[in-house]
Amino acid sequence: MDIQEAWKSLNEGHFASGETTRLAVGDLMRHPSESPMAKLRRNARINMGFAVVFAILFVVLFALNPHPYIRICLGVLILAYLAAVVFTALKLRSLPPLPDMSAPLLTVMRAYHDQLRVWLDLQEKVALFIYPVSVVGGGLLGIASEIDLDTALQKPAVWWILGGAVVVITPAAHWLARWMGKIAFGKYLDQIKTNIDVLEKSE
Amino acid sequence: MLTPEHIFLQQVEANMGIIRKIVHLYVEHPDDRRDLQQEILYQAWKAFPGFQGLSKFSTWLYRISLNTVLTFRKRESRSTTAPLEAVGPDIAAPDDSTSDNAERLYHAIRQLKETDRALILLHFDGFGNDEIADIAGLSANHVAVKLHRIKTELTKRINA
Repeated sequence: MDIQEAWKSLNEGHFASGETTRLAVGDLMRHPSESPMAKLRRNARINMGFAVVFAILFVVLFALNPHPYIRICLGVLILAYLAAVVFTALKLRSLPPLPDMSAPLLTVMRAYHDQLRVWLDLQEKVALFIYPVSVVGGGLLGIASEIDLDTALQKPAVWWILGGAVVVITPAAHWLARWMGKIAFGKYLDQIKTNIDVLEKSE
Repeated sequence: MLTPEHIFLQQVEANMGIIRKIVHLYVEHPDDRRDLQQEILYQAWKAFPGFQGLSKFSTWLYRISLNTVLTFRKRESRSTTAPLEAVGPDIAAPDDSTSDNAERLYHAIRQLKETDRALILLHFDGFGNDEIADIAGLSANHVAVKLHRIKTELTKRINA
């Protein structure tokens, strides 16, 4: 079998035919990019927006609630959410722009792989301090809505429960963020890593 | 006077076969093919201001298309079983040996690893080892070794 002849036949047959598409740049722009990196950046901005909205809500609650413990918790929550926003924004700014898609294949794949890894690490770190702080803050607010907080906090059991929740939630949140990252992007990361390894491997 | 938009569209329409070929060699499901073609066109339009004409437009489009396909996230929820007419080339005439060979070649290429597919595609389309090395980000020697191995594998698959 003449491979070049078969290739020519493929080119002249199937690959050459197909629906005639009248392209319009406007049509191209109406569809959001399917690129995972573009989606991650978009999601990061949406998350930052939500965090700012929640921080504003906490500020309102802070102003409405005079209890010192609740104010301390809300203050910590506000700081944690704003820290997460600043941390994410700084990371967004510090990441080098992805290489142009006309760059060499190896360069582009390495950049996608490395940036995706950085994003997943960032989400794991943010989860590490946001969730425990939210648990304690939310727990205290919940207690305060049911009974008198001063009375409740005099019971050692309440402190044990809050402390226990932090001890359990912190590694669980870290594990959950890692698991979600793996579910969402694990196969994609593996796919790119495999492509890099195969391309680099010299036989 | 032609605007950059017109120039881009003219060039893409003249080279649409490159995109169609790559899409067919990499994804199976018709919906994935549409998505991937859309993404390649989107990436090409985004990168077009950086195209300075130092290489041919077709070479530039190969780079964009291959980079997009290799960083494209395939949807796992879609069935891998696509309609028959969408799976392979529409050329299967049993008494036509050229068509039969083309079909065997097509299916053999589809079984190669993704990056190997990219290298052999460029080779079959007439790119020299230096050009392929430039596109892939490898050395020409590395490309030569890989192409030799890929061709051996391809021949085995065709004759299997």
